Amino acid sequence: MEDSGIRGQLNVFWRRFRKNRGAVLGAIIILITIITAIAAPHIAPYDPYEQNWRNRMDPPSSEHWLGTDQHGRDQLSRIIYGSRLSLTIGLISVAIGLLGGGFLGLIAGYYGGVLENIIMRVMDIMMAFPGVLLALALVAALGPGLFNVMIAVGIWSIPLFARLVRGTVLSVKENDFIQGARALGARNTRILARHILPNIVPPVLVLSTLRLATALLSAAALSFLGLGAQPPQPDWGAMLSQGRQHIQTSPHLSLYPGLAIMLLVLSFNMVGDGLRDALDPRLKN
Amino acid sequence: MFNYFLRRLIYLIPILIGVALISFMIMHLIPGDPARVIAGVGASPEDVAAIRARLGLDRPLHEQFGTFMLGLLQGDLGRSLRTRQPVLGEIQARFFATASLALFAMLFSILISIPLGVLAATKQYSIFDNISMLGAIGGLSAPSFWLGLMLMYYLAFAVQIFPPSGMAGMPWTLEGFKSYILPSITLGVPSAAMLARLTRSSVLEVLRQDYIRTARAKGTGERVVLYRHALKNALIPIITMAGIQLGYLLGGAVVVETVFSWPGLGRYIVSAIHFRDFPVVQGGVMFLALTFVFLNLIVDILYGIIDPRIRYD
Repeated sequence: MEDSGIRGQLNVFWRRFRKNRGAVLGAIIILITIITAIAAPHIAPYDPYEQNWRNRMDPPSSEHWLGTDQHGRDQLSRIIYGSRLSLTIGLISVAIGLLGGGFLGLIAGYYGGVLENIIMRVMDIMMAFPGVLLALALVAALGPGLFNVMIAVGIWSIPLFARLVRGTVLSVKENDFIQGARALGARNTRILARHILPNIVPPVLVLSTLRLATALLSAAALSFLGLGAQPPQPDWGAMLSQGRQHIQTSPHLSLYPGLAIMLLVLSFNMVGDGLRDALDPRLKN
Repeated sequence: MFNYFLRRLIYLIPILIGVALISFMIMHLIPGDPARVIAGVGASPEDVAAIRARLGLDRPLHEQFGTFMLGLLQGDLGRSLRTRQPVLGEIQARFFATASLALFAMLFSILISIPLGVLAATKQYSIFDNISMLGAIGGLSAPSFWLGLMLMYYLAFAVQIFPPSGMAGMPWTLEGFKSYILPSITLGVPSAAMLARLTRSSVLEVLRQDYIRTARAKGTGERVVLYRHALKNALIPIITMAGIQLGYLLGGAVVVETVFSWPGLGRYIVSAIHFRDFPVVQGGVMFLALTFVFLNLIVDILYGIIDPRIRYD
């Protein structure tokens, strides 16, 4: 009975989601990127680290479809391998934000009181740093490197998840079925796990998808500033940073990594929009 | 209104202390000994000890924070390790470039986004609506540093209309104004995209209201309905969002200033990070965050002035 209920909801969700052509296209692009990342060694025409000084900064040709970089490395192969780094950065940093923020939001929303006040004020303070500034400050302290960028972008996402989860918990908590469960003697952990968590999933799913887009952009920005991926890692942001020095003569060095970032971010944004519309049609428009 | 203003100011105090604390902690999060990092690889233990004593790093943490806060209240953010100049002075010298760039970027995004959003709403589900909203989500997805480089290549190198980088003068001079254009567009595109989406949804929302239906039923022309009745109310959330976005532009300036070698605070902070000039990073980040907090306070207060339905009690 319960199964058919969930299946029914999933069917409704899928019917709504697939109506949004942009979201479906975004999901397909994300799927292709994931397959590309997994199969990179089989797809990439060249070794992404192999330097060839005779082919430095060659424009796109039949041999090198997207040209070569300042060390003669094949751009297409580096972009293909770069998808691995980008997906990893996005997933790990959003996971940090989701776990940290989700936990804090759950506690703040469910238990309330002084604890809630302290947690939410700390979240307010973290949100007082505009844009990528908090992540930048954290990387400045932790030192450059991809791992630190993931941590910094992850921590920067915590307040957003905490606010969303707290808000959802507060509204779900007032429902009769929660009062009923409590009257039947259910423990807090059971109420949280069985009744509250499932209701948090839809909005968290939407925020996670949209946040993946932001995380990718911010991590690429930090790599562009020289604080993330370090040479010779085939990271899209770092590739752009190196291409910047040759923008006048070889714009292809910057054009393609940037397009790759934009396409993936666009896909996550479109899927996020589609999920939001499908899960909560009231928010459409 | 006055009570609300006072309450907001009081509420601001813990936020300001928190921002100062986080900025202060930057110095102390550095793995290992910050004095050793500052002294460099070949420094002797005596040199490291001297730096530790000079920066007060040998004192207990709470004492160091107390001194930091006391300095902050007197406008003292310490001295740059690189130039030995007071950090606040260095920040002040660069803030105009950053603030004016953010203002130009905001102007650009408002000029683009509001007409686009209104047109998209009035022609809902048309080709224009679809293309402009796809453009908006594209604008949200394009990395600003990439967009900046592409604009630089096409409009400064291929067709030499604008200078490729730097601030060529004050914005009221022709050369200065031209040098603002590419960085302002680059910085303003994500805000323009966000505001265009918000304008569209806000206008659509207002067009569904009863008073619009009444106006139409009375035979009011569509143009008057849109511009006299709908837009006035639809603009309230848009203006609020524009105010908040202005603060976010200060954060975004860090990246855009680096692309265009803009002599602002953002680029200064990034170069300080590379030189491990921690007092500058600490002071610069805190200065931008405090400006952001105050901008949001102003937006909140203005929100009440432009929308009399908001009650503060």
